[in-house]
Amino acid sequence: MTFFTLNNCIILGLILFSIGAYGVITRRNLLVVLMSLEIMFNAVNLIFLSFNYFLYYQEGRELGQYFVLLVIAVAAAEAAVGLAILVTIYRNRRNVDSDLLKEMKG
Amino acid sequence: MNYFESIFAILPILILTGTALIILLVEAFIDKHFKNLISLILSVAGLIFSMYYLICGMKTNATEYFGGSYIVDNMGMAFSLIISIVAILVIFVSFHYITKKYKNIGEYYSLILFASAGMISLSLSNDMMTFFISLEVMSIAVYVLAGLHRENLRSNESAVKYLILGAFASAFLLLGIAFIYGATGEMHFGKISKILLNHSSEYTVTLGSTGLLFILIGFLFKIGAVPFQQWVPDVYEGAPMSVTAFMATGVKTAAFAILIRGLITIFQVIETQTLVNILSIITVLTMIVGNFMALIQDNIKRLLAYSGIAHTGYILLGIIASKVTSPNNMDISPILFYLLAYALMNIGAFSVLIGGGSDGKDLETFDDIRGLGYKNRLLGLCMVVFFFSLAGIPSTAGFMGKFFIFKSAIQSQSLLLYGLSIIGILTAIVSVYYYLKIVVYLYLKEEKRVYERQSVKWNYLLINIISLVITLLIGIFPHIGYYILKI
Repeated sequence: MTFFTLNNCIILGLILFSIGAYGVITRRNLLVVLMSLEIMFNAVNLIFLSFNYFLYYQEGRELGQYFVLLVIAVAAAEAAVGLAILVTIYRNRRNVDSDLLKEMKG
Repeated sequence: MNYFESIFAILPILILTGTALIILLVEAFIDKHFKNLISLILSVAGLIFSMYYLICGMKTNATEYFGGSYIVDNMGMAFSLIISIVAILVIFVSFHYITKKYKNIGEYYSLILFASAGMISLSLSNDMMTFFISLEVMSIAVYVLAGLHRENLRSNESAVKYLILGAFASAFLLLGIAFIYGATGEMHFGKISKILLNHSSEYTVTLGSTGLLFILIGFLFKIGAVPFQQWVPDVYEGAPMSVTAFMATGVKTAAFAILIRGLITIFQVIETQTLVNILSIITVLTMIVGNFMALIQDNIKRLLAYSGIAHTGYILLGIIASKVTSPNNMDISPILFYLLAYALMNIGAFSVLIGGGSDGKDLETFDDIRGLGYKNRLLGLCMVVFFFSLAGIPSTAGFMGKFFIFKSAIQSQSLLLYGLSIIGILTAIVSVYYYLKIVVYLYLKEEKRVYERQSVKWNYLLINIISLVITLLIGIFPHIGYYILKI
């Protein structure tokens, strides 16, 4: 199992994070943007877990794992609020396209 | 540390959260005519209780609670005090405003209280976990508040922009925290900086400073400094007016609290000169972009958003000055004074804009405020004083704030800060133009038009007079301001 190393796990996490960031920047559908944000949060969770597992778990330090639980809870709350806002937008416009969000300029 | 002492230390936060829940419960059981009044009384009572316990819990020397998660020191207490004052003022400002637009009134008050609890917890946090959780408690409550006006397209847009950009910034912040965790294996600010300073293997330092850079970006996003300021005008313009006042003052104060907490703990790891250089570039950009973009706005809310960006620049200047003078033990009294003055005059200005509106319409554009000084002389007078104060005209709080910031910059005797102060003063002169433009519009009379006198609800008058008195008082006797903040 030489593939399962700290570096590879971090690189996987960073790739996922970049995919998420790319999605947030380029996607027009706000629902997909929210999904991309979830990918970013989960990529960070993966990085946390791999740091914790490879570097500190043997010494009995588990802080990183607890932090992941907090991040999951926060991401869920954020997704709930985000979806609620999208629902209100959909009711007003029948559409959740980010291109239409240009009421304010200047 | 004794468990009960720890509970006592975070009692202000617990009281705020408890009151918010009680308001939600009570709302379900009372008649709808009394909902607004009872929610107002409950939330103000909760805030005053929490302020009382904040003042009781003040310690002369910093004490850590819950194994270092919370720190109670003068700085955190002063920031919490400003936040509580802001929350009380905002709640009074929104008293008549929200009944015009919303049905679920209890939600509004409890969200404001949740957000203030998050802010107070943010300014007392001393640990990555408490810091992240309090930041999100604050932000999520404010996302909802920004989108509270559900039928309004602009409010929707403001909420969704704030949510997506805020979550995007939080993700980068989290990545930074993850890197720092990887480098040190600790979450406590003090332990992190100790490990990064002592065990300087190349791996630890590289990973740690990358993480710190990401965290700095997250902080700068929250305070709205320039490369990360794009969200500020849109979010401020679309949100309901009272929420804009809350965001412009409360959220900014809390974000500065955690930025300064970071600078005196974890950011010590980065060499002071490097940090100062990065922050100087951002400060110059913030002051210039904020002031010059405000010149071309025709919406007053948007103008105040850009002026808020400019004020962020001046506060950052004060932070750089104290960082240069004493890198490890920053003297932040000028910054606190500036934040207090900024909060008072900004809430005052928003209160005039809300109170002067008629038929459920706020004053938003320059045409709306035309002749306001004739319709209601008191509101006109207050508005003039608040905008003089924002511009920094002597005998107002805004002038004293700017004076202390520039004084601390010049006393640090570094060439860089002389340059920054000159740019700051020049951009402040530019800012006088757009602030005075509003004052001119207040007293601009159209030909052959008689302005009817317009009455104003008591709560706007109350907030206006309180803000007016304190603005003038601490502008003329600045030591009273320092006494309020106990520094």
